[in-house]
Amino acid sequence: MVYKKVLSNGIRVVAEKMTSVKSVSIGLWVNVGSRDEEPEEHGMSHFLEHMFFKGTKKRSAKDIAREIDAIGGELNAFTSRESTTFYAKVLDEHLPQAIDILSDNFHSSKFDPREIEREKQVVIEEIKMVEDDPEDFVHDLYIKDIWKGNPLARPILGTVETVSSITRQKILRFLKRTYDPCEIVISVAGRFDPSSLMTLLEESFGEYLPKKTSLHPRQAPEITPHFQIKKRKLEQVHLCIGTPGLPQGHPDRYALYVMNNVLGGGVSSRLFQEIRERRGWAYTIYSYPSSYQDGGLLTVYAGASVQNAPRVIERVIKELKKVKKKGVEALELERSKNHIKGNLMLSMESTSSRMSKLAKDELYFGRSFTFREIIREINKVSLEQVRHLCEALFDSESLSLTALGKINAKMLPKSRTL
Amino acid sequence: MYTWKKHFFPGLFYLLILQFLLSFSFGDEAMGAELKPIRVVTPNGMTLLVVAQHSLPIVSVEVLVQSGSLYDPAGKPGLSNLTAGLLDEGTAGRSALEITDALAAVGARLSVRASYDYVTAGLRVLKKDVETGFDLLSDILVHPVFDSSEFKRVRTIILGEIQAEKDQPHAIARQAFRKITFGSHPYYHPVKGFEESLPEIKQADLVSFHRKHYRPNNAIISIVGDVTLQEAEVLVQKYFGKWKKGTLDPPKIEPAHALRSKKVRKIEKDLSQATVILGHVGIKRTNPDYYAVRVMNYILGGGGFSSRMMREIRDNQGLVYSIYSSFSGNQDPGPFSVTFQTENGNARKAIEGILLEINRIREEDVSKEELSEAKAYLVGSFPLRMDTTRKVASLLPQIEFHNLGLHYLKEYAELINRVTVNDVRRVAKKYLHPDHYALVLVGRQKEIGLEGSIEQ
Repeated sequence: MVYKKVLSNGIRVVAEKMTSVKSVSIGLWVNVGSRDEEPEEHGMSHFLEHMFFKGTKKRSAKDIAREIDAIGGELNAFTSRESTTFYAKVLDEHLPQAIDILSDNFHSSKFDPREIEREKQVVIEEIKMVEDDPEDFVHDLYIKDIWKGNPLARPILGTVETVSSITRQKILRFLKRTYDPCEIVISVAGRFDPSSLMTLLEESFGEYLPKKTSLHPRQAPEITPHFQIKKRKLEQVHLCIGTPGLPQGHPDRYALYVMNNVLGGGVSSRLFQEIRERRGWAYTIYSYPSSYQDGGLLTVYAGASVQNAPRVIERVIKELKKVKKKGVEALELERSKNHIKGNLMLSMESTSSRMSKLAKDELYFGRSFTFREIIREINKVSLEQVRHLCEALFDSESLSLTALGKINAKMLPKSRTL
Repeated sequence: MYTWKKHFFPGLFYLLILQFLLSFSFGDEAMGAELKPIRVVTPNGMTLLVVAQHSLPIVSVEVLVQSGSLYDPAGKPGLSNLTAGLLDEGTAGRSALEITDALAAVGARLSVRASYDYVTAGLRVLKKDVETGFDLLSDILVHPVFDSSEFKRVRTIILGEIQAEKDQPHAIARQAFRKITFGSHPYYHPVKGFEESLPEIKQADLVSFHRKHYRPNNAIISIVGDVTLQEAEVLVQKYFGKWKKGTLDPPKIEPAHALRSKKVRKIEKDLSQATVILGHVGIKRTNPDYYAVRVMNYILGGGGFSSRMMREIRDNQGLVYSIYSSFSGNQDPGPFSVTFQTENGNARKAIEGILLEINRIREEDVSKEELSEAKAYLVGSFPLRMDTTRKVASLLPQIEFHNLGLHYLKEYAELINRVTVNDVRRVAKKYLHPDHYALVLVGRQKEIGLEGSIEQ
């Protein structure tokens, strides 16, 4: 059962009780991410995510780590392009302590200038780690090129330059401009008592008052088709090939999941079977849809040797053309639906995945979907719908490619249309 | 309250007791509440561990076969992994594609993984499809055919993976570290094997490796979730009952020798960061000091944001993004290692910081607070390691494999809580060696500039 309540200040709470577990996951989701930053603030959301663990008026950074460890819990956070999440997972009897720590970090973080300076070094290390990891890095390059000029295109971590320029003043300004109770969802899944949970959350978060902030309206991303090469001395060539996808909440989203599943979503997918299993041209290949409030992408990633990379590219394009022209087959459709439904059911026992699902439902739809509803929607996907979707997405001019490694322009196919 | 201790009832006697147990119904308890696994040994020698948990229609299964890369014969590193990789690539009755499709059709997940000591095959399936899941699971374990074209194809894919690891600084560092640390002990080579060793492996090697090691009396199966003990038993009998027992003759492997000096390996790589591993041979899982070592390592560098290394080297000095130390408790003594990434120019400072912390924990008592915090975490987080059927299904065979006894689930807290300040110092002195270690640095060596001696 899902409980929903709006706290007196406008923070939305969604909570789902699971009797099968002893633990509970709680997440504070702020609808602010890297796309909401000004160019000179680039990397701020992620930096803030770090700074919320660096000490409050009541607790030092060490105290925070100590307290959560003392109850054997997990406390962490992550930042995406359009949200920042702080979460904890604990045994049910420790939920009040977890809420106290989350609330204290959220309301009373000091943002001590010395801690800021130290944390900058840590984040700069993190940026460099991504640059040294070709699979991560090629994705950053790809999004940068395909959504050129849009704030969504920027890497979440920011750059060494922008992160170096962060000050306490800039942090406070950013918080004032973007964080607001109306932009917050608290999501809870697992074992808890609903009425005491709601009372506790009102006490712990209800006093955070709206500041009448006005988030900059988000600017919908537009596709800039490209074929880009970034040369680097690597053993393998890392590829991202993609087309537009769908925004969050699009009515065709289930058709997209089904189609992606057939195309490159798992080991029985066409790309995996054709390129890795049948031909052994790539050691990793998969496709995935990514969706944001007002835009999305469908991306294929592959890692292949320099020698195999050109044929992998050609083959991926061929498969995209095929799915555009013919859609998917009835048997594939059925298998994919079962695959997605099975996976969905199997994910039900994890409190953290349920907590995330609840929060995203609330953020993007303002309501929660039951498993039954989702399964009904998946069952409804038809061959016809998938074919229409493919035609719409795989516009002949929108194909893009980013390649990282020892590859040159001559190795890329001449035809760049679908 | 059916906590069966392994030594109580040998062999077939379990089966008789089972009849008695079946007349009881099993509680619908939450995962993470006290788990009471039942242990049964089947007539063909397979150890079955069952936890019934009916609140969700999900069944998680794991089969562990003692056939890890530890058993790769000389000259053939990678054989265990290749054998495991081919299990689901075709059986006597199904092609590779048929297996994949059958799984996808019911949305089940089946994954095979080789590691140093053993191979595991994990299955997650909805209750309604449990028969299909077991049919596939037993088919791939008992009847793989190792078809020659599939064999060549999978070998090529693994070679591709090995090639890809050359772009991953961690993988490069880990491999070099193991080579120095383990000498001729099989833990020296990656589970995947080497670029040079894979072509040496023939199809016949897989067939004989499988015949030798994939035997019910060399396997442990756990079934956790929406099944009763009786259903679990029936499933195992139906799908694994005809699996023939084998004569097990595990090779005698000498444990790795400790290093007698400091060995440094620098690997030139054009990267903006240096990746560093420092360490040496640690302890095996069955070492009675294992729990004291866990507590000690938690304080030293295993305890995430609470550990001394994270505090000092990341938070106070800002030299690294992440740093952690670990002891892998394997069948034979596994590695103790400290791993971090840093700006090339900061590597020396970070290494000195690590050695300082190692020396400090050997020479000075840890504080009472540190000790109690470490214990609180290790004990308190234990239930969260068992909060889904999947996690329990993968934990149980490991408990059995290391002979810890099912009472381990109950005793774990006590084993940790018993550790004293003196124990921590004693095991730090005994198992940490700040003078004899392997040090691997991957990055731009000129910028790392690790010339001359490292100050301790």
